[in-house]
Amino acid sequence: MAEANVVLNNPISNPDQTRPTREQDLIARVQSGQNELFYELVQPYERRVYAAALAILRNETDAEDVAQEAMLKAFANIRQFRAESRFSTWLIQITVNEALMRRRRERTVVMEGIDDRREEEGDYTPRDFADWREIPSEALERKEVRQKLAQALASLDRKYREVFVLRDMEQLNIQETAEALGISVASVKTRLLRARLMLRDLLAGGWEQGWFSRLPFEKGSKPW
Amino acid sequence: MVGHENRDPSNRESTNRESTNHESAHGEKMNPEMNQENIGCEKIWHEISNFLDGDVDAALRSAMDQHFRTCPRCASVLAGTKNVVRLYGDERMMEAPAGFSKRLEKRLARNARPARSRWLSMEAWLIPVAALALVVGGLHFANSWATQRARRDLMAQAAKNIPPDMVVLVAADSKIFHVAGCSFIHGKQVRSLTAKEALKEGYAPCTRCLRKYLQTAKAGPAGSIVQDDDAHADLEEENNPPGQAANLAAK
Repeated sequence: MAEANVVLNNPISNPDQTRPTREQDLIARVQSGQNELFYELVQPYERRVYAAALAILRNETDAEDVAQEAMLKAFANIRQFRAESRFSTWLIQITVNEALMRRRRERTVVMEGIDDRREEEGDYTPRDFADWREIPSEALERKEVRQKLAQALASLDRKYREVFVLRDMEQLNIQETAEALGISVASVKTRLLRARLMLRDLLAGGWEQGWFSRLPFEKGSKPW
Repeated sequence: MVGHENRDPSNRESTNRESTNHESAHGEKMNPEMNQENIGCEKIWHEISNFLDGDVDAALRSAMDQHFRTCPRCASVLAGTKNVVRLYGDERMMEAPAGFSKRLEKRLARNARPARSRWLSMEAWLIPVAALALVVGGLHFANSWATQRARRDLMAQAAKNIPPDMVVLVAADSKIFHVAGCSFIHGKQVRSLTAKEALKEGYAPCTRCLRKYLQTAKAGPAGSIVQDDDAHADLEEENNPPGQAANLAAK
């Protein structure tokens, strides 16, 4: 998908703190009634919003619908946004809330809940200890690599996937992740640890299956 | 990724450790001579996520750093976990279905239309337009009502001049009463009664044969008389189809 290859500008970083960023300017203008600028304001975050919804719903159609609903809700409540928090975080929290409500409505949580309880017992022990190297980010240029990583993520149980996506993909901090999901900080840390280690093992298994076979690694060594 | 804290897990660590790559692999336990803490691999695995997030105290960080330098298994776990955090944190992992952007933009355009000033909105325009319509309609109604009333008053006064005992003729299918011999009777079947009875029964005086009794003939505007005649003609026409009326007129 061409859309995925667009590297977003960072509308938040503001070296000159005395001047509002483009994002801050857009927020102020939308809040004052220039509604036509709202899409310009949220466009840099649209894929993050979709990814957050997908992590919770695991269904592309529902995720897109919820992403749109979340954007509309953000638009309806834009005047309540305060500059103390990041706009992106606020947007993601609205999305997570919408997605959780949708899931509750559709009662899809019951089956996963059983697995969640089982998975939480005991510490997670890594399975693969091969020699390692860093996987270059260029690997992500290949669609099949991105798809394999997405499949590995989708294979995680809901509770791990949600925390991992919000923390490591959406870049919420631990506290924000806990608030968004309505769980404790300790739970976020535990689930995040397990999610990272499980994905690490899945990627190691993927290495065996040749996911990264065309990458310039030294013969006989794994990327970790 | 947009505006966030360190995406690269190596940057999340607060130490400036150059690399976890090492040569002196030795088992899972720390060397007690190099670290005051006796930290094991299981402790490392338990804390590795916090370590990557910079969420461990200085003593533990130091112990873990040392452990990574001497334990290839844990160094492997650290490197692999760093790969996970770095790769999944890359913007390119945020994929959306084809056409997602356009569909979103379309829906926002549909549901989040530009806000117009309250007084420029369609609803706001409807308010003065409706008010104007009400005023104009009210004036028209009032004017019409006053005119009709004046006309009704005039006709009523006219009817008062007709001698009440005067014998008049009415046709069964007409609403006008006449004096005998009025050409507007058109040879219809008639019955006779007094003017008072005719008025009581709702008949109106013929403006042709009873004209001399009608005040409109003397004082009313010309238009009124013409109007009365027109009204008479209308009534007559109503009672006689145009063809028949023409034949009667010819006779």
